[in-house]
Amino acid sequence: MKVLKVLGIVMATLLIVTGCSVGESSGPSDSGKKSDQVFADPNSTLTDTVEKAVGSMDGKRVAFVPLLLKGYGLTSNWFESMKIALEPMGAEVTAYDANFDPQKMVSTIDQIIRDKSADVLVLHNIDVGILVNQIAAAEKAGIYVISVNMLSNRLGDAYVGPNTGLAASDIADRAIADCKAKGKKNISIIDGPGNDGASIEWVTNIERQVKEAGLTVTEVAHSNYDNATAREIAATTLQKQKSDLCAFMVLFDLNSLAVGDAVQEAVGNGLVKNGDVGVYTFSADAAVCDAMDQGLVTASAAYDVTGMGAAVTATIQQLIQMNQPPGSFHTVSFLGHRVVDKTDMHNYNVACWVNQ
Amino acid sequence: MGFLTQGIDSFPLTGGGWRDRFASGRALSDLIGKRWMEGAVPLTLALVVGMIALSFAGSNVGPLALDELSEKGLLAIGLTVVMVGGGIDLSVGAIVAAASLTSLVAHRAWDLPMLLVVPGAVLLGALLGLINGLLIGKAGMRPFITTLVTLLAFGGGARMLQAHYSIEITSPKQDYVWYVLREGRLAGVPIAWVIFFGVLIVVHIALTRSRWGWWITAVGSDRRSARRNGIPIERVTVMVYVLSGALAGLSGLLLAARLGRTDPTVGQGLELVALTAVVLGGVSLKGGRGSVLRATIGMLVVILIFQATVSQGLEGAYYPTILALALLVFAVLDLKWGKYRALAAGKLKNDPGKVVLGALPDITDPAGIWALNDKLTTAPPIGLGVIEGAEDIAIGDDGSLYAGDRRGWVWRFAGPDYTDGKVFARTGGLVLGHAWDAEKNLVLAVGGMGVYKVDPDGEVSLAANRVRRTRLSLFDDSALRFADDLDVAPDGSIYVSDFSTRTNAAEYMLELVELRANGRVVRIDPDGSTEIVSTNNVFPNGICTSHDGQSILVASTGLCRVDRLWISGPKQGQMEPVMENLPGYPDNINRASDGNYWMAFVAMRTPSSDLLVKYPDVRRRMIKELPVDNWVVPQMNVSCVLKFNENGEVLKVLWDSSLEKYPMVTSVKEHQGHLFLAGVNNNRVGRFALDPEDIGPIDPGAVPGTEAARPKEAIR
Repeated sequence: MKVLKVLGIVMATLLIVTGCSVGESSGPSDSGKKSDQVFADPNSTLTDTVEKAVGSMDGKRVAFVPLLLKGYGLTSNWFESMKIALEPMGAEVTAYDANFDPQKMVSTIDQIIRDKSADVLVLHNIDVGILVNQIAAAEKAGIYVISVNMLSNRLGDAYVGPNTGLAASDIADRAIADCKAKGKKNISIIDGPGNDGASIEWVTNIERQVKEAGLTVTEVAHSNYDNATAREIAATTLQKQKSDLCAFMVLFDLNSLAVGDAVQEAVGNGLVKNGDVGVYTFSADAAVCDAMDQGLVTASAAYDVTGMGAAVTATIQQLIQMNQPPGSFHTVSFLGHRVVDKTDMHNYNVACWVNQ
Repeated sequence: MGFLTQGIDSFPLTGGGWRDRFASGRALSDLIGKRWMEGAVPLTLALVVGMIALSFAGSNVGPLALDELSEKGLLAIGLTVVMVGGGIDLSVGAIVAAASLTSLVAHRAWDLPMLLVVPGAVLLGALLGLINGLLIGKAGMRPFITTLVTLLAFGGGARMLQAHYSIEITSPKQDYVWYVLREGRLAGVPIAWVIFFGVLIVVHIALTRSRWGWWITAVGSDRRSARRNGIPIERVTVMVYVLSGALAGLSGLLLAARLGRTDPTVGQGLELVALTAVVLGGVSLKGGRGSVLRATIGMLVVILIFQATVSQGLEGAYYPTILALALLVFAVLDLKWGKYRALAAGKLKNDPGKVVLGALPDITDPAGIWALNDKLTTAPPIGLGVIEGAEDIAIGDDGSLYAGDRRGWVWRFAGPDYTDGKVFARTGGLVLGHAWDAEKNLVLAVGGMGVYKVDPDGEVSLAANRVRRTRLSLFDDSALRFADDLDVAPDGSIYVSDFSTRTNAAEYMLELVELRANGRVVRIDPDGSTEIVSTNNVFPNGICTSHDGQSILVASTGLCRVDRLWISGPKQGQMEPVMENLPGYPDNINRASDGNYWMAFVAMRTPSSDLLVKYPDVRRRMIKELPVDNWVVPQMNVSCVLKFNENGEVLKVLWDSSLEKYPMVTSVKEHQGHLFLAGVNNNRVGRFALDPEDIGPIDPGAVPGTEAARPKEAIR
């Protein structure tokens, strides 16, 4: 144990000599100067404007890290929007599929920061806490961070996405109205893993609306955005509550299809009557519209998914043109949404969108 | 080469080329026979895999990899200790999840102070490990199935906790302790790295240097033996799982600090990561063998593979697939390498070499000097049926005969009738060469033990049994493994032949068939230090100080020759031939009273044995496929004794043509007009009366160059 003693003495000496320290926290840097901006002078000829705008994006690298890319319409859509707008200007847009693996997402972002292989990082945050350090580190490394679709505990340079809380309230109001019409009170909520921004806003806002309307949330279940899990949860809930249940509030359209199938199956088994249990969700692509047509999904708070790609693209260009140090400003931009059902879904361009 | 070799290089005497110096099969055997090779091969392969992964991940991946290593490495350490103890712990990932999520819930939802949360996470891990330990150690359940069940149970518990507090644990509540664990530095090194390397060093020392570590290794190697040796195997088993659990708990705490992951998949799949890492690090799945340092390298490799898949943008499924493949390959390697390594080393060990002998001399001329006679047949026996295999003998000043035999005893037969034999000393080894030193101690070459001295009272003491090990040699040649014959020089040095650095005394036949330059001649200084004076000798056997005390004669049994090594005078350090291409295999050489030398042949060359010398591959097959008594070897059962002069001319040859009394003579000693005949397979010592013409004025038993050796009046 002599070795241990020596080791102890060495460590203690190091501690005394160097002290215990923690890393410098990154704070907002000095506010930028106007002259740093691409369009510092408001008077510009058309040719100049175009040249400067395009030139500012030339050679810029945009890294997009969604929680899932392959086979997922939502994120593929945004990726395509970014590419068609930015690549002709000479920018490079690369996507890194995290494949629903938080560890992989963290490591991917760590590598991007280490290699400084991006000028703008577009993050599709997997939960509200996990990327807090990465957002700070990226900004420190001189990379702009844009969070999309889900808010995080740390703001990057910009957030672009839906106001999920408001959408949840609106679709909850629609479900409450339907339930009251049926004279039923029980509502079941199915969210994602429960710790992401969307889940938290979805659950808290629906619970509040339901409570205010005098109805009951019978359960909050986590699907982890997995179709099979969502379907199982729905089947079990239906088995338990049968016709007492009035509505499933399912976070995101993809899982609502699986829940719709479970309800349809329960109807087939005679567990509930057709139209007894409604399925309400968030976002509506063409597949959900088809499902609404077939009666699998009752209504959706459709938000401007296709517009979001464009909004992100606009934000990227603004950040580059403003040319302020990353982390010096924080903005939050919400997209619009509208509650649709099969009667009016084709009236609004935020619903029934197709994959690019 | 002087740095690497010691003494005169005798290899050129074999007639072989430079390529014949290297025994490739044997070198491989030496290499794979090393105990450290058990882990070195998988580790080297793992490092190759690691380098490939590194080339894909980018060379500046270091800090990222070390961040991950400080969490996952703790799991590898814990799992290594469990596996060295003969178990397995699949629940490590679930314990990480439980500790990580519980620590976040405790701080963010239950508002517990961090002073409780930090030790609480480690304690929770230890507690879950205790459950594993009790089920396996006390209840006697199988480790694999038990920890598979607890993997599901602990993981399920963690997920339930996450589901219940999913919103509360996402609160951005911070604490200085989290901050320190995440970003704190000690002397510029991140705290998490310091914690990890601290744990690594402590566990490594404990596992390799403490009783606790030896207990674990003993239990993992053989539970039954461990129990019989009084090791509390139940307690040891419980302890290793508690340690593994506690380290997983610590890992979970660090993970919570670094990433703050609050999703239900935290910790999932870490059991595969940890298991692959330790198997890559050469930790045996069979228990009893493994090192936490190597397991750490294994974990680093696994992390590099992960970083490479991320860097290359490979889909998520690639990483577990690559891990599973690596685990499979290395598990098979562990099984097969562990099983066949020693076997292969044993097979490759015997690697016959090439020596060049001259044309077989014709000794069949009935009128020639080699003509058969029955002179030795007439020699009366001493100690018939009492002595068993005296390879050499010595005769004291009082005329007593001292004869070591193969039971390790030294007999003393008092002259002049030699009927009364008593055991004079016991050495414990195979007693071979005998000589007197100037102080009248009997110096003995004891096969398997070294060189010993027996004082006039029969007290045995060690003269030397080690030499300096050859530098950069895989094979440990520091032991005097097979001291064969010896003699004393005027300065008191003892020159001893070590006939093989490799073969045991009982396997001398192997040396005759292998014919490699495995032997050497060693000088033992009067102060007890040793030096190698000649190396790469083929079966060096007889050693005799010349009458003038300036050189020693060295008989090379394997090369059928005698050489002179100058030990003083102008030619000191040089070697020159005395007799070459002898018709037999020379054994011990001793001085004659008339200024000449006596020598015995242990065997005679035959056309068939000479033919075999030319074909090492045939000898290799013979060693592998035939039992030792079916080997084709030189003609052993002859008894040929010859006298030669300083120039190597043969003066006289004595035989026992009956081959009954003295079928093999290995040494002859002259004393007062008689020649005493010793034989390693004989049940007697012969006492042959010399012709008067053979008797001179010198005392052959005295150390040359000393007063005692001065010629005296001849005894006639």
